[in-house]
Amino acid sequence: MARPKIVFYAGLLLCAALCLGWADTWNDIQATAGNVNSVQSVFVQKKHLPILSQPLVSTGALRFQRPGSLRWEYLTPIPSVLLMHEGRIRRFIKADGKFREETHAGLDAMGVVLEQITHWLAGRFDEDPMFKASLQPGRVIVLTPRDQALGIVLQHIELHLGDQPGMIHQVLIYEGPDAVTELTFSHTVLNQVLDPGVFQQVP
Amino acid sequence: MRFTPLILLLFWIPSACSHLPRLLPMEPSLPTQVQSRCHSPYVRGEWQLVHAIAADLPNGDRQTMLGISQISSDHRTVHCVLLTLEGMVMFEARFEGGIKVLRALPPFDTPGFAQGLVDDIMLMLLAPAGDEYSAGRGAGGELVCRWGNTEGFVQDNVFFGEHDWEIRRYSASGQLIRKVTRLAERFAIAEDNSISSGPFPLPKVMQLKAFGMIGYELTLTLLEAQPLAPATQKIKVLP
Repeated sequence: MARPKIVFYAGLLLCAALCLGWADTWNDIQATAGNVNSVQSVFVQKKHLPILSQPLVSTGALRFQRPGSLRWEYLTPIPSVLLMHEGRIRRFIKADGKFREETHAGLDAMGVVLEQITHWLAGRFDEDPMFKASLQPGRVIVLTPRDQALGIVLQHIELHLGDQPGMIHQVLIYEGPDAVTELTFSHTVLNQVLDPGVFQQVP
Repeated sequence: MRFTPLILLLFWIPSACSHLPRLLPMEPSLPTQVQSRCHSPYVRGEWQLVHAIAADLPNGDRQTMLGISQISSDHRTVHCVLLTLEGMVMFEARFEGGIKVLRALPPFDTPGFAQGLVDDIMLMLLAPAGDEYSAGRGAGGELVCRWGNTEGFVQDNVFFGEHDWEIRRYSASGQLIRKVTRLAERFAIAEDNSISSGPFPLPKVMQLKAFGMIGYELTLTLLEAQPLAPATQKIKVLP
């Protein structure tokens, strides 16, 4: 009778260890994220603004390959693809059935944002020179701008980590108390081998 | 210095030669259908519109953003927001007689941008102020409705056939400075798949061209239209 009790308690402890601990400390997060080489996910983006009675909804998909390749794709309402690969950023918008490249200066600013995203996907939250990070209960990371100028643009960002180690479930970007971009990720697949071409070409 | 008069002449001659297209007069009493036709490119009442805006800029840049406009045709007010596709608000302003900028990030914080944007929105979405306008026929037989304003600008709403139209704005010297063209058939369907009462006036795609030294093009694709007062169902525009 003693052995089944031991097995039961061991199982309980093992479950407890699996349920706790992957995101309790920065070291835990980075250790787990260190095992993530690629991420594929779909997302729903909701933009909340005081002017809107209902949020503006967009859908899309992302693909990330360590160290810094990213494909950020919107499917609705405006099909577009943002590619970051080997330091180069390109955006393509679908118009008249074809994707055409956009060339505006704001892409440089996008590069800064994308670089932040690649840091987050690699678990490097607390090394960010642009944001001060704090780890909150419930696997929530709050990022606050260090620079006052950036603070005018963004109030703070919340990263809600998923149950599965290495996953981000939701990102909330607060421009003000009532102006929020809400990104919810699902169908996340980690560490699948990705064709490098997805970070260089549009369909 | 002796070349200055020549340079001035080179700038003066084109403007001096500009003139408004001549209108052939119509009968003195405006038929009711002409009056409603003159206002047909616009919605009436209070609306919230969401557009995808593709901008071709003077420096060759091309940029696509989302635009939210709340307009009131009765009060001639505008509340507009420009966002990136990623949801970042780059510009927000209200016009209620005067402009109040609520948020403006570079490069949308340049002097004159807010006024220019509001002017363009009102040109595209609101009928010209005032009840006094003239109607006539253009050289090709098209119906033209012409408004003037206290600043000397002239606006022509030009109608080709049954559906096509252009809005043209001329400076006080008669130069064409803005043109809005309906590009695509409008087709709007309500959320419950029932057709809204009457055809929705705004086109699915329209293009604004700004002429002059700093010219640009905006192509607006309507994504959503929602009447605000009284609150009724949203009209979803099919892709």
